[in-house]
Amino acid sequence: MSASTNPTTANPMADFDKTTSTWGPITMLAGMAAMLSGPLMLVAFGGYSIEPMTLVACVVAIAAVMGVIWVIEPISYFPILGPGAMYQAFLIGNISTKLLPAAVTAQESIKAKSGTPQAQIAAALAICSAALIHVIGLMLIVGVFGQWLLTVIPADVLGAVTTYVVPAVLGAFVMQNVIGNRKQPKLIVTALIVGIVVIYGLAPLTPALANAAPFLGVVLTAVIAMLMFKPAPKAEATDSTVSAEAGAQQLASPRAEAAKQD
Amino acid sequence: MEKTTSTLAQTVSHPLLWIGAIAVLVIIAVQSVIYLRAAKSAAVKVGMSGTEVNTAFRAGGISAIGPSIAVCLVALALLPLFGTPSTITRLGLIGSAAYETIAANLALGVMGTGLGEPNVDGNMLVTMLLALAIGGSGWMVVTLIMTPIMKRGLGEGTTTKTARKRSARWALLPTAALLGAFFTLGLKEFAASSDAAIVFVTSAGVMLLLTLVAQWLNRPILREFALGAAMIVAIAVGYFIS
Repeated sequence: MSASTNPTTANPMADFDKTTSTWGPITMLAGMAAMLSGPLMLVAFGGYSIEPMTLVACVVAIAAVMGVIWVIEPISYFPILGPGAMYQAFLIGNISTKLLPAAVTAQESIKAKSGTPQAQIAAALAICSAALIHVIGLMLIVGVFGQWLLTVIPADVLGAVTTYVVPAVLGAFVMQNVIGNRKQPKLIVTALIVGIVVIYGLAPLTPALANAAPFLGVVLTAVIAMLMFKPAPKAEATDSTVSAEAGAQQLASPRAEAAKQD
Repeated sequence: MEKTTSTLAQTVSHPLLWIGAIAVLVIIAVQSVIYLRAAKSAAVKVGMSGTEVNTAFRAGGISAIGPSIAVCLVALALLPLFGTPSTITRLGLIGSAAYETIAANLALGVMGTGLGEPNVDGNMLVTMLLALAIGGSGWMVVTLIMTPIMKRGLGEGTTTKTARKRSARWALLPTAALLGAFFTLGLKEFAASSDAAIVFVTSAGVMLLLTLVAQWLNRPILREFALGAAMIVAIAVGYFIS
């Protein structure tokens, strides 16, 4: 398609888009295969066995709680990243904490005006650079020195890490979500009340309810939020714009303009 | 002599897991090089100088060093649970320490146990690792399916207003679902024991403090370290109170 376009009027990013829309999915699929290969090889050649139904149950349990992130994150980040960078961002992650700050820093460093091809290229260069730093960091700090650091750290400290890692992650992560959604206080209060009812009210009743706690938290909060926040038909436009801005606020960057110009 | 009952430490550092982990890092590097070459040739077309290209590349890399170290600090907390190769695989790819820990606990919960419990065996661990890998594929599958569709949507001249309306429709429900999930999961840990509750509150407090300080000093880099720092401080508090 781009070959038949007159070179003088052609989008200078056409070749970049073509390369990334071909190699992006290929490398992402390769990364996915590599990710699955380790555990699969253990089952095939390592002498370990898994119960297929147990595996399915595990995946369902994860999907019930986390599945919404898999769908929502790609959709939310698309307007900022643009199609090419999607395949990088959702291969390596760390999007809002690493890739987007790197992209914006790079754009500022060369004073690229937002919405220009220069801004898009600066962001692409920065994301490549960030991805390489990501690989080097993991190789050195985790791969090479990780086990040494573990031998240096005493066993009872490791025990404390193992015991407390879940509440230690969740405390910060819940707070992160609260801060990130602070412009939606009604949602936060709803989720808090639902959590209290589920954990202190429903979960102690039967083990089944205790196991379903996260799922109950998702469904009840979502349903109550929908009932509470359902915008009146006339007010829809205003309401949507407000919540869209709240949702996109943390991600707002010059790249959003670049993506729109594609 | 211990061949039939290999320890968990042997399982999590199995050579086959290392092969997968190295393949993951190589593929990320290969992808970056392909994108880098495409970006450089596009830069020539729009008249960017070599200096500008190098400056942008260097600035991006430097700003990524802080977050990368933060991710690796968090990874150290996962090493005893996941082993080195799986920690590299899980944190090298989409996902996060928080996500992986929660997902691992959910998977082990299905098998009647939990992270760090003594009755976890090798087969359970492999089942968990495979479930986490399939879970990580969730984002990739959605990205592979949705990106071309959304790209077409852009091509059809989506206006800012309709794009915003559409994203608003997506925005409320998932935010509610996420908050519901994590408040419930968090309170579950909070209710587990008084020690766990103190650890939970400490972690949340450090996160809040660092976010406020980052905003106050206008140092966004503090936010990149916030999760790693919150985890380390909270675990340290747990260590001293137990």
